[in-house]
Amino acid sequence: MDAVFLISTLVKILLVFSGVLGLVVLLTWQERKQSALMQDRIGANRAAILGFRLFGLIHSAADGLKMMSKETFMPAHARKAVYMIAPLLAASFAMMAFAVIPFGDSIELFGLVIPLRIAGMSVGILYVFAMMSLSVYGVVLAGWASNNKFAFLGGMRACSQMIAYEITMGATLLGLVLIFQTLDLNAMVQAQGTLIGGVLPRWGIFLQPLGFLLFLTAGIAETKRVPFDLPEGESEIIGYYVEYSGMRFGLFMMTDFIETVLVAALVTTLFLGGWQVPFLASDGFHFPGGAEVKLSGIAVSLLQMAAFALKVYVLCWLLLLIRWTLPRFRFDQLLQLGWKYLLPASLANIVLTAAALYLLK
Amino acid sequence: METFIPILMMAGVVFGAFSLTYALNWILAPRQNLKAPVKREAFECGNVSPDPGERRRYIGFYLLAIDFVLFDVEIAFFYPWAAAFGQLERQTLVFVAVFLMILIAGFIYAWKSGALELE
Repeated sequence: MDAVFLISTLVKILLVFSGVLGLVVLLTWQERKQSALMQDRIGANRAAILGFRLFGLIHSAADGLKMMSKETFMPAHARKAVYMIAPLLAASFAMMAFAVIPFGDSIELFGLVIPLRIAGMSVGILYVFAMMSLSVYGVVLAGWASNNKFAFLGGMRACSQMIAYEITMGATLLGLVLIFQTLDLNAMVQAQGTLIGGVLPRWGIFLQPLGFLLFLTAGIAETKRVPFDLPEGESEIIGYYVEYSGMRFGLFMMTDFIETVLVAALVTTLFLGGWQVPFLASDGFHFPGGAEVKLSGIAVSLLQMAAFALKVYVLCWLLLLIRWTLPRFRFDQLLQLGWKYLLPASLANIVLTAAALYLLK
Repeated sequence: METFIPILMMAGVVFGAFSLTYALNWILAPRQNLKAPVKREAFECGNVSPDPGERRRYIGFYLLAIDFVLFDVEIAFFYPWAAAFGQLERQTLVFVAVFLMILIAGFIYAWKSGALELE
């Protein structure tokens, strides 16, 4: 436990924290612009600093400032302490799940080899699930503490929805764990670095196509956004944050985006090869034809980090695309989908994967 | 320690930063008549809420929560098996298959008895 370790860890934490928040800010802007594009509108374009509008990007800053400068008040019936900390719990635990996600292999700086993840945990997957479950507490407690029937209904809906899809997530990932035989996220990404038949990268999506679809669906449900936005249901019950205002509401809004980024990062890590770039080894590219491009260690590390960021961003874009394309489920349909279709499918996925591995062994 | 110190540091940074937004909100935002009874009403689209506080809850959510606890714990038992799959003896597959059968039997029972439905 030396100073270098602590300082490098702190730098990594700040890097991840600001990176995720930066992406969240970018996504609030992109959500408005992309929905505008899809609905043939112009979208946010008014906020300006000294006449510069930056395609509406200033709106993200204006949103943040607005949240900060709005009055926060508390309804008379609320349970005060729980009401206060619920948004904090939701946002913080969603953010803390990023601690084990590898955003690169390792980088060599000034003679030091620094692993590019905050905590190299051998049970990384279980840690991520734990944090996602704790994040549910923020939502449920908000619904309960507001002491408003709409907020309570929203909290209950959020709870039953998220636990239903969490089982699917857990069961789906068993297929990947069976193949890679590790719970360490970085070891999983490293195992995805080889090639199948010398051409196709050995990514999770090619080994577990059904698992990918199930995990992505369950992941979208975890973010509580359309088509799974029943906990909010803007036009009917408003949701668990109906009694919240100012920055306390702002944290709930941010949580949705943080979870979007988290699901994108998880799918990237588990199914899309994480920081792996196809044909890129630690000393440069090795293409199937025999062609090679030599690269220095730092260039490879930077390329891998850029690849991870790009994959996460593309998945975020895909999630936004789904969010603005599909209509909302009815609540019983949503539970049916989770319990009666996705869960049996993920159990079948386990059986099929285990049988296939057993026969191939 | 190499694992948990960073996570504690992460927790400190994250909770600290988000608490800071509360503090900034407290400094920047106006505060007027926070004790005014109208302002402190439970939201009900402008009406007076007939029953803002304790009221009867729908039992179906409780049933779903029980289902969740059962199945999630059982899924968690699969993780050690999956992580050690390559090193296990042949007969362990039979044990796991029996366990999976029990899980599926419970699932079918829950399905048939209507525990997975609302209303």
